Amino acid sequence: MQGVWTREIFWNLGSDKKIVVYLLAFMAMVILAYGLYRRYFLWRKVSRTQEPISFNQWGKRIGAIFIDGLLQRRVLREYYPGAMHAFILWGFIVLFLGTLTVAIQEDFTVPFMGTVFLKGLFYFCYKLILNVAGLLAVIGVLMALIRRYGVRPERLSQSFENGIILLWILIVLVTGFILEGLRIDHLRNDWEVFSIGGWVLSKVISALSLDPGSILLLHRGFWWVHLFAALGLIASIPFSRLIHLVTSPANVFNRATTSQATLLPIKRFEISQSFGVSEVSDFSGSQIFDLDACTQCGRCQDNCPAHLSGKPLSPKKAIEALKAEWLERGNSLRKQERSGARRSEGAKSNGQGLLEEEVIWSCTFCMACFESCPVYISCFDKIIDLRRNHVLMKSQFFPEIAAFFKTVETFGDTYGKGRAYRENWTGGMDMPKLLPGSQTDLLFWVGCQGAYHDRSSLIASSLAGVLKQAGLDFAILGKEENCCGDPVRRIGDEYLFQKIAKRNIGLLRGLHFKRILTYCPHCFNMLKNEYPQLGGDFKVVHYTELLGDLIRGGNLKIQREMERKVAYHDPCYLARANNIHEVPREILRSIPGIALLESHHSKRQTFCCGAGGGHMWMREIRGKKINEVRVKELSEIQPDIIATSCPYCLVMFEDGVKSLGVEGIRCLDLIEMIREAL
Amino acid sequence: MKIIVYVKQVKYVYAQTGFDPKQNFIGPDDIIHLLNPFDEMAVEEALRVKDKHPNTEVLVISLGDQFAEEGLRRCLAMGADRAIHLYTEEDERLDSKAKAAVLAQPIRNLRFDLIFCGKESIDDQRGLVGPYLAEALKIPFVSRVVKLEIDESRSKTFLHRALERGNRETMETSLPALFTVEKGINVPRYPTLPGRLMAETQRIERFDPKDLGLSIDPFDSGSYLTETIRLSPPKPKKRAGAAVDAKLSATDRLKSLMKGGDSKKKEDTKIFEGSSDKVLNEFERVLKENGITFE
Repeated sequence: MQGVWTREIFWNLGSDKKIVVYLLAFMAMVILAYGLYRRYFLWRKVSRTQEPISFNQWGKRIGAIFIDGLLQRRVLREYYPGAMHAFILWGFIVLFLGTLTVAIQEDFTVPFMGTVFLKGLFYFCYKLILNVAGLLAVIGVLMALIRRYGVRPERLSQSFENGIILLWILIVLVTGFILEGLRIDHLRNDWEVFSIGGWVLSKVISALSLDPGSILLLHRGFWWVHLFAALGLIASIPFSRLIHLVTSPANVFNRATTSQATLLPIKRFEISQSFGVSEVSDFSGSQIFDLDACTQCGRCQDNCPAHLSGKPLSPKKAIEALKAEWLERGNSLRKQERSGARRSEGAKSNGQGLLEEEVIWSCTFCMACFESCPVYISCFDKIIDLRRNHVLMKSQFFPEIAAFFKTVETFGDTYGKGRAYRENWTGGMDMPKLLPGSQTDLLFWVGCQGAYHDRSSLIASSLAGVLKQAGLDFAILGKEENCCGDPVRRIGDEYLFQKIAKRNIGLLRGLHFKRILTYCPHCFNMLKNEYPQLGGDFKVVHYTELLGDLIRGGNLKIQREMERKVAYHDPCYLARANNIHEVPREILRSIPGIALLESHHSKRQTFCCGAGGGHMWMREIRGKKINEVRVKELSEIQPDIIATSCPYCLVMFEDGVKSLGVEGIRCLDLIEMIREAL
Repeated sequence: MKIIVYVKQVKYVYAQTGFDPKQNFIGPDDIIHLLNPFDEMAVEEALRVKDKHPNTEVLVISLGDQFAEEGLRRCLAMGADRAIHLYTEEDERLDSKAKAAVLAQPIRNLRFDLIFCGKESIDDQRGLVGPYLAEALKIPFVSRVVKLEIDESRSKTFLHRALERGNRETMETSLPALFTVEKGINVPRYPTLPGRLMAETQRIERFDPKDLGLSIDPFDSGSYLTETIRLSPPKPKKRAGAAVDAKLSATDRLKSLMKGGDSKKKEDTKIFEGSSDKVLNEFERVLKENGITFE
């Protein structure tokens, strides 16, 4: 049977049903709006510090929604769950656009212009695309069901709600195809073969050889099921985990400009009564929104060094626990507001704090959770606030931390040796010093590790040697240098940190130099990204960047060959926080004979060495040692050398290599390899 | 209850970078001021008494220049209630007896139940201010206290005093009394931020020792009982000579010395390499082989 390629909207139902559809759709929208409003209350009212939502840097924010939302960049980093989610998302976006097209035709072009544009070739493409999208979504949902109830990975929780939602989505999709199948079977238009899913189903239905009357009846029945299921799904968004349709993109929008490399400072100590977070309303609005945006996908948990080494911290579970606390607090607030009672502060506190102490001390501030989260949620910005509360308000921490704080405060370095020994690393080498009044291009910020640690000080002097060889104009601060404050800040003593940082900034401002060169990535990140918060804007380079420039510019001639297999470990504070991961590889490749190996965790997805977040000076609570986990992973690709460019990482790996008894692997800093090759 | 703690802000002494004996061989740039750790423990102990017995006032007192004030602020941040600063820039000149005499003057006018001091300061290491002070105030004195309990009636204390080899004496004293505390009595608390912020603005009562109405002038060297004549730098370390086997006869020993030492010892030296487990196993084996340890 030939005819125009089109279909009648509301076929078999009569256009009088139209009004019913719109009424129901309107009701669904009202429920959706009400639910979102209720949620909005919870987002805005629980936090005591209601920072305004910032709408700057539109390009970056919209770009993030496009790339990480629509194109699913971060989601697709993991193939199976990525594809699964993308299929459902893309399928539903297309189906939504399809429905919208129908609505435009029926409510706009037909009544006002009398044109039906869903016909002919356009209708052909439309049907084909929608069918493919629907099939993709069905595949996605089936994949999800298998993943959650068949081969469930540890990171996913098994909840009743998830299954209901998935089945519900499946019902919407399948009834859609059944409707099409019934219609095609009844109308028997041969050209409708391009409605792939519907066509196949129509063959199945015709095999059942039902009489036309019952097919029409069935069609009507399924049509109502489909309508109610679809509208119900929309209405249920704010009341189920589908809320992430709203919160996830919103969070990407909100957090796209958040720098993971910096912690937010506490401003104005004098006027505050309480520091850090002791109960959920102390979190900022954005932090609370983070909690709601979490979909419990568990990627953070799979990338968290603390979790993988058997510590009590799982970012996912921490966020979940905080979210539960927030919902409870929010709901009780709403009840109070409804009954007209005045808002009571600090409703209850179980004395335990929001998270267990062991949990908050497990974090190494490697930022892997933020990096792996598809919707830009970080766990460590919550943990730092909890730590700050423990440190600043309660002085509750391991005794070694108290000793460490005292050391940094009195001696100005992390090793407690004092400024008298700060220049000992030079070993009598003639080192130009930057005095007030003199001038230099490069100010070499050695760092406590380079100045005091036996192993790292060798590397610092190698670096100074290379600088001399390249003929650069550089100088050091000598005894004037102080701890940069990174471990102090990340352990949680913001007050001490700001004292140290302000002293350093004052010192650096009084000197004349063009750039600061650092050896330690932690100092680098501190000086580059966190000092600007306190008014210290300096140009900072890490030595890998400088070496890259020197080698590219031909100022350093690599002469010797090194027949070695090298695994480069990216320090978190270079690769993740500052996106420096290509230059170190370029430097390694410039040495002839080097074969570069990559481990599973590399570049921005690198794995912590175990020393970050102040853990260099803290005990490891439980489980395996993080450095051993990492060394094991690196030694599996069988390198001769584990190279890195961070003093902490190096110390951790040398320990790990020894304690694991790995044979034949040396741990070297990049600069040592260059020095050897020059 | 009222507790007085005497604290001293010391100059960090391990940094021997200077050449002037009067500066304790510290290069003036490298001086690091810190609250004497034993005194910090004394403050902590006073605060622990306060935690247990409400209505306790902890007063800290220090003698010295403007750096002493930093130490006092630290004590206030930890939780002390009041601070008295006896300001002098010449505290280095005072001997322990004179210091005690200066301190005793204001303390006498304060009612108190307990005085805590550190057992010694880590710079001078004399450990005498406490005992002299107790003598000046005519109250019982116990040194090296490692554990303290106060009777319900607050008139008696039971304490443990550390002896050599970990032995302890249990003692009982009446109050008021003066105790100097030994390492191990507690771990000093880290001040909270509200504490630190409050301490920065808290008033410190400052007096000049000369205005205290002392019967003798403590700064007059004629009234000192002891006097530091000279400070000498540590003697250069003797170069380690070759070890000589004591079992040999005198001639053999001389011969071996003249040869430049018995190198056999060196050959016996063994350096273990490898993983820590491996090293440990190897070490254990050697110990067993040589009959030092047994199965």
